[in-house]
Amino acid sequence: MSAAEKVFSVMLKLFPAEFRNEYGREVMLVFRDYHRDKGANVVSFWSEITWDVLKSAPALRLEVWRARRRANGSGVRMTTTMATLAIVIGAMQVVNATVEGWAGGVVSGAPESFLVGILGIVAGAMLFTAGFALLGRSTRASSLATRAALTCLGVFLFTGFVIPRMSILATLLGTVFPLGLLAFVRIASRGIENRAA
Amino acid sequence: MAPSPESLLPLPTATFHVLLALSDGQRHGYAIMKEVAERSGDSVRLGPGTLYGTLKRLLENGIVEECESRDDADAGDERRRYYRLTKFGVRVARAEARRLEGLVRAARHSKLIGPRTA
Repeated sequence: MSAAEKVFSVMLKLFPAEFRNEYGREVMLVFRDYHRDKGANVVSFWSEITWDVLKSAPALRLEVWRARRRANGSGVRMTTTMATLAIVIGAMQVVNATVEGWAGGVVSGAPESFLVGILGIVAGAMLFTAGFALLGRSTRASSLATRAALTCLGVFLFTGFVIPRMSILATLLGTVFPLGLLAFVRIASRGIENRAA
Repeated sequence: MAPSPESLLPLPTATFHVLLALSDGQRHGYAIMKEVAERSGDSVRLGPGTLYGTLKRLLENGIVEECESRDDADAGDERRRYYRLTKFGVRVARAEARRLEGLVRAARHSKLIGPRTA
């Protein structure tokens, strides 16, 4: 490596690490060629190179910072919100299904209410677990959340047949949230695939 | 959904020069630099940082794609990455050329510049 290349390799450190990893070698090759062709006029060559680095490195750093902020900031906030909702709604569903199952199935002796109660507990527990998996950024979080959302929708449809009159709140919790969770998991995993690509 | 070419306009000058340099075939980084300087009569000179910053953005937007890297006779045994325009990139370059053509037509109409010469 020539002295000029050593100096330029120090200047390269002003560029973001992601850029250096991807294009550092190519940038260095171009610098070497350019130095070979235009390096005779030392002052003009180095002032041009310095100006180029001072102009392009901060712009690239800003781009990387913005991309990270976009990817992390909104993603983390959304994941935390969905995870918290899944935990709260899951817990509420477990409590509600236990009470309903006990009152309808055990006290009143209606076996279908007992069955709905058990299914509700299972769906609620799945939502609850998926919420914690999302919070902990577990690798299984998206599959757990998908299964929990589909189970909730299934239980809701089944319950709709067995107990046709349901409250607006139960309808919202039973359909809107699982559908929202499914959409979120789909969008989040697409974002991860795009970042990996 | 892929963006429309017009949504990426206007292109920065350096970017359009890179697209022009790639319009007649694939080139590696230094060949793009030399082509841009030659086409612009040395009025536009891209440094290595500006060139690869521009290429990075063009790659991210699907305007340019990397070809298989290969040895370059001018650079000894170093393998170099070659770049070429994608079909979308050609559409973007055409849209920018049309936009600039429209501006020149408007400037002519306003008599800021003289009539077209052969």
